[in-house]
Amino acid sequence: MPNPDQPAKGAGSTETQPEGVSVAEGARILGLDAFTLYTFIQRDRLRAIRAPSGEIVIPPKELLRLLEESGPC
Amino acid sequence: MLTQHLQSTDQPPSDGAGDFTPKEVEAYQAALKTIRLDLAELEKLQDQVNQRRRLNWSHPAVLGRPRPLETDDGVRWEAYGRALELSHSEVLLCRQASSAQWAMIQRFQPEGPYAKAHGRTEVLLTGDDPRTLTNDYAALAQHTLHFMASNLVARAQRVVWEQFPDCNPPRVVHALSERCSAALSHDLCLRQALSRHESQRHSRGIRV
Repeated sequence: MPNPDQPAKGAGSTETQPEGVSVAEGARILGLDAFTLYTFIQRDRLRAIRAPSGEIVIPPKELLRLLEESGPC
Repeated sequence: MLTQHLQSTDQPPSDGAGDFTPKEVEAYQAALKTIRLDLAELEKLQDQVNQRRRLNWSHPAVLGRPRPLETDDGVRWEAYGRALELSHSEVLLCRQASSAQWAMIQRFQPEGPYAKAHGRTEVLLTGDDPRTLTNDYAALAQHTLHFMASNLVARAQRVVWEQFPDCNPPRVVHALSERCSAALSHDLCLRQALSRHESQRHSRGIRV
């Protein structure tokens, strides 16, 4: 779990959120449920990054790559 | 009145450090509101995992009548039960037709972009014992639920620090983290008891 004693980085600071979508939004784009997307991230099928706040963010090009890779893994 | 009642059950769980101030409660409730739907989804999934854990999947009565399923590579299976029901897919316990091989197979709704690109089915796990396979899948699912919960806490944490920086954010975030951890409790009775305890604590306060 994120450290509650540490301020969420980026909160009120000059650090910017990386470009990307939330897991929920990524799931919506792919027509999947969020749970499945989380499993994809855990299995390294989908590369995600941590925003300064600690939240998972998915770069849009990753969603595209996942759709374009050939066949089921 | 109804809104008040609904809000009254969203009290931060006790941390042994005295009552939360009104501002701390406000911060907690504001952050909780942003993750409420996802938290409810998390709890539903945890309930499913808990229920499936209690079943003896190798017992014929539990397995029931199989339904045919064909994966996208043309292999035929018999689907004996649903390990997990998700919003856009389901995970099924299957046995390969005329074989001792078992598998957890995820079947997606066909109209989604991912399913159109990769097919409707994916074999997640294989094994020769349904009970071991089910336990292994439950463990993986539990791990994913923890991952989901940590992301919810991160989202809620951002709300607290950005919008309520003067309201003892570490304490509020700790309470949110406890709330999310409670959603992952393996013990449904414990979760229900905690929920009743929180409601009763506040009810007593209202009567006074």
